Amino acid sequence: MASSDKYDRQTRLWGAHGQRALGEARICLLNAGPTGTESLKNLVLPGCGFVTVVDGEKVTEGDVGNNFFVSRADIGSPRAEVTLSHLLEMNPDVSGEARCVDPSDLIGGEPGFFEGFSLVIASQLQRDALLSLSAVLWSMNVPLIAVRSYGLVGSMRIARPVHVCFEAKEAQAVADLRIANPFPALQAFADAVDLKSCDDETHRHLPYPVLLVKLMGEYAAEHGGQPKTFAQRKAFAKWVGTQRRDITTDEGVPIWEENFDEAVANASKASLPTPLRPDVADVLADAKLDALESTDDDFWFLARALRDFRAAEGKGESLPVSASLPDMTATTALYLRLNEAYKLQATLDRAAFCAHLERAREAAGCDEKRPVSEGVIDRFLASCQSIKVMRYRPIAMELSARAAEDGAAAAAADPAAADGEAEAQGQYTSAVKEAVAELQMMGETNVSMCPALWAVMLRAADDFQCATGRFPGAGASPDLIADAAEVAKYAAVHAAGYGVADHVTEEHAQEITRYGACEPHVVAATMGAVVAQEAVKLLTQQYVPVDNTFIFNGIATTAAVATL
Amino acid sequence: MASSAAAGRAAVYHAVFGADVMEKVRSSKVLVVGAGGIGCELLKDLVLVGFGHLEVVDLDTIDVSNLNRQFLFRPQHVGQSKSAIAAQAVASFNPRAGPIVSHHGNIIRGRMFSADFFRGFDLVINALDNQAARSHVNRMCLATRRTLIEGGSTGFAGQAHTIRGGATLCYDCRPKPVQKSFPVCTIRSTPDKPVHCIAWAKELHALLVGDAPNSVLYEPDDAPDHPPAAASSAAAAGPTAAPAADAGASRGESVYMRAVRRPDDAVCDDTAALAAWARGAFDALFRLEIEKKLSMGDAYRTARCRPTPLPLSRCHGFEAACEATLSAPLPAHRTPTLGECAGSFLSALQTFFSDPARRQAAREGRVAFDKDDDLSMRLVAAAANLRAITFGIEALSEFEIKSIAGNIVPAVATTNAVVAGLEAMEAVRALAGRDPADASYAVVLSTGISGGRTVSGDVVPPPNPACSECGRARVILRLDTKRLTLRQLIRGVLCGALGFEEPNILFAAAEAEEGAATGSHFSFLEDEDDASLLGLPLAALPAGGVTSGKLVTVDDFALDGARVEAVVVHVDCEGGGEEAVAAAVEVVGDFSAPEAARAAKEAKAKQAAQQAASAAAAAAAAAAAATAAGGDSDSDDDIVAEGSDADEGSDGSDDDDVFEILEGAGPPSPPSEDSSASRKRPREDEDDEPKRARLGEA
Ligand SMILES: [Zn+2]
Repeated sequence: MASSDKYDRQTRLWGAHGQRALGEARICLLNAGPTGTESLKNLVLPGCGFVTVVDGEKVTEGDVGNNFFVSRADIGSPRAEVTLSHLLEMNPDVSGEARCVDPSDLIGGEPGFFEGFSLVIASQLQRDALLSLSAVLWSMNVPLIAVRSYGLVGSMRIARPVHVCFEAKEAQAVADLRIANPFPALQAFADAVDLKSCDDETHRHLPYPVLLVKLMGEYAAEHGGQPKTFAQRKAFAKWVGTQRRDITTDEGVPIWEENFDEAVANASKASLPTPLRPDVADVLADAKLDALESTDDDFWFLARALRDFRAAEGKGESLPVSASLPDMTATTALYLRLNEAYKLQATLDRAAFCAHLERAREAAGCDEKRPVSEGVIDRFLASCQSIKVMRYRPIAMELSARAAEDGAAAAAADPAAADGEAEAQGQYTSAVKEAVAELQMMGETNVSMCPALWAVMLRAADDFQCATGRFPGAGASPDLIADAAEVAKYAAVHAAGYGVADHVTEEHAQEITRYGACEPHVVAATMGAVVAQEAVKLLTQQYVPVDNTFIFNGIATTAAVATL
Repeated sequence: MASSAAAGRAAVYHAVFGADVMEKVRSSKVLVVGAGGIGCELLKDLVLVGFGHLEVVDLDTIDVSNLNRQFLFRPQHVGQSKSAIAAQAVASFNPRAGPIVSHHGNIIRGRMFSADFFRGFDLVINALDNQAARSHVNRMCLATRRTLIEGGSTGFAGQAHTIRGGATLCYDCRPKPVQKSFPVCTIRSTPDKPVHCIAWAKELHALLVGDAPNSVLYEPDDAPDHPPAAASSAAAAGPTAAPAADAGASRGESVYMRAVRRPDDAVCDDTAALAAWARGAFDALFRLEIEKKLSMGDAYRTARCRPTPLPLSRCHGFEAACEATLSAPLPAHRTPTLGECAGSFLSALQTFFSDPARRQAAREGRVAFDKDDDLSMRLVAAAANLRAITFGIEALSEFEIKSIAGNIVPAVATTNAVVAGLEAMEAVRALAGRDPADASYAVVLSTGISGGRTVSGDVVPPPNPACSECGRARVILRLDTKRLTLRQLIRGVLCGALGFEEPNILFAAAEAEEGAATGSHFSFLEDEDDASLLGLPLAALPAGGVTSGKLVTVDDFALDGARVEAVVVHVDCEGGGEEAVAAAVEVVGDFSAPEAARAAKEAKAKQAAQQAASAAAAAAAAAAAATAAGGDSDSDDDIVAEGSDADEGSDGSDDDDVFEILEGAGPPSPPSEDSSASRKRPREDEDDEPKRARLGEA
């Protein structure tokens, strides 16, 4: 009699609601080579909803043995159909369709096809097709993951105008217990306590938020206000520690009051309101909150309500109180009583929050009949210390990058023309330079294996392909030396743009040329796993996806993330 | 890309790795330990790279919950050997590779997995999900000088790296998180967290349907005049039955042992009687026992949580819930009500004993708690919540309880696939014979935790000199601890294979045995200690005996300096005679007592000579300095420098970035609590404006 839920162990990571989001996802894969099918495999297994495989090739001898989802018997059959059927065999919960057409034809001829997908994974797509696809998806706000395995190097790029994370789950968000600005029920609890006359049992079991509210009241009365400087706060904390009682058991054994340890450790919270985490502050300051439209994602209305709540009920410094109280020294009775106080405030705050939410939705003309679900509101409030908004850089901007000086020079020569051009053109970001500098800072003298440099090399290989119609080192009988020299020229331009000219060498060009654009399964398997990992983040709106490029260097087994 | 499609697999790998490396890949023998989530991925990757001689070991059979990560398995394979099915499934993908040899067995205890077995491979790759097996494979690889590639995953985090004895850290160079255990009295009397109640519920499971005498809740019955029949008839009378309550009146006597005694067939086959028995058990456990504890006075004076007795009558709606849960379980994701907990507890007990097969297994004490057994899980979840409610502790959903009770570590296909891919890469690199310092990169993933890092590489740290596995003279003794006697160990193994003359044996007492009677250690020297012990099997020796995993230290007064630590690994020789048991002993590792003594003697002599020399030099320098200037002498530096050299290696391992994550190593913690996250937590007492500048904004 075994466990019946095959998703049990992953649901522990992203919850039933995350699993639901995954189960409703429609995913489109372009090109069913090893990297593409491995990516999809890792999404079919955990139970994504529906997959569409787009591939125009027939299965060849070369696929067999390098792609786990084709077999010898499939040679000559459409690769989209073959891989789809093998993929779906792994999980009966998932359904899908095959489109036996070249992805570039679909992108150019039928862009509307991509409407309605939750995610598009483009594997081994050449540059011009990728640029068209990313423009199409960008306008639909459909997330794109572009992935490639290239010899021992792999890269993955995410593009999407805006991505919202409901549960970023980054650093542990510190719960705001409202000690610095107690709500009425907490204040009343503290007021009812008499530290002088209460019995020892109570004294050593008073929960520390109550102790701090109480003691801060006494301190403020005596000193004409709360501590304001670092030194005063230190002094307050010290004073809190002196308020212990000498308690002993009946046998005369001293009892140390642990609740006072907790109070001393948290003393600064009594005069400093819990600050917003920077990511949350960014969300609340987002211009989008003042221009909501009825078609916008629930997230934005919830964020707007959060901002309005903080300004009104939160008096500019508090978010809604959480109903769950962390563990602390207390008797059960005192703990439960305190928890009741927090629950009561949480209920009041939730009601106020929902009123703000309603107003914001009404103002934007949202459909009353399709309210934000109670479960979504609860989860949002439970994790409102861990929300985040990400805005990706368009792929077009990355690929049209020119060095900052070039842009400035062009602007000086012809201000009007440069203005228009700046719209479409980006600049080289500093990410590659920073990645190299970071390695150097860590004492690495040989930075040639820095993964970010290999992103520069992939770009050079693409330049070569755009110019010649083939990848360096590929084709019938390539001249490896000539190809490498050509690649090195392209690489030098980008290396200069990224500010790493000194670090991109001939050896890099030779290595990239040696690969001949092959797609070894072992790199594909690793890249496919990374893609699926990021796909789960994008689909569940949990965790923080990569911003924006992941580069895997299989030569040294290192990897890095860079914003390109 | 058209070119790669035409090139074919072999050409692809020749292009990236080169022909000689690919020949090594084809001809090398590789052992994969584990055919689970990582193992399935790994086998596929290795076969597609072109590894020609693969063997795989796994002791498990396929379970339904494996299907969504262990993609080589299909529903029709449930119940079959993982290693066999995995080997079959991947072999077809590279017909030119030889067949994959599969072994269905326990890598630690299986007799065939000897040192020679390990020596038969060029490379060993771990794809395991538990600490004990990884430690063992690590130890075997160190002893047989095999390169090991170690990998593991927990949720979104994982790691893969190469271990080469002496050149890199080993699996045990870093301390492992220890499984939390709780004092027995916290479980029995003073719980204050849900986890204590869950531990209690698991003990209760053992008491009710499992190995009762080994449950911490077992209270020996001093009244042998109650035949089992009495138990059943008393219980059948229902919760108001007097006998149990009477028992509670006398302090010290158990108020629940009789009520939880397994019902006889007459009761089990009578629905009403069985229901009454279940209610009797409920009443004894959640009302009478609590009342008794409260009546014992000061037991709860200092406790965080003071219990309230829970009569069944307070559990509103338990009858309906009991009825409902007989046919369908409660929703797993919602915290149940009190009535639902009570109903589910009763119905789980009734289901257990109305099913003849389960009843029989329970009577024989054969039902061990298994989180994947829905009925066992239901019983534990309901009992844990009822326990929690009596102590005013929050109740949890069955899903949450299962996490804690089963030590369930979250697992996801994607992380396993990354780890396997990296292990396969490392395998090729290891065979390519890169310089260990170059090839041995540790790879740490912190994929889910932040957008910052997904996979990151790091140099594998050097061995930890303080490591108990790779830092000292060690041997592994594979033997049958239940059958090999102390005499056989001394005469045959220590004096025989290892060359001791008068071995002195020392091992630490098992934790449970530690106490005034046995002390904290067991030590034995023939001719001095009780000779009657010689005839005992190792496991039966005092202080808990020598059991699998025990570290035994042996030294010798006659051979000064000969000292070895032996890890004993139990290998079952059931059915073998005395000679067969002796013959089955295997010593793994190079150690010879006479040689160790000789080496120690030499080292000592050398040290003495050096000391004499440096003392002489110091004296000479001091004399010279004194004559020259009468000023301060720095000749001490020589001696100090010697000491500091030796210390140098020990401070290099403070490396937070490589953290060990072990599937099944302990209770799961949210990914955000990993070391890198906690390091970033801002200091609370900082008055400065929080630093908000980010990279790229400057
Ligand atoms: Zn070690």
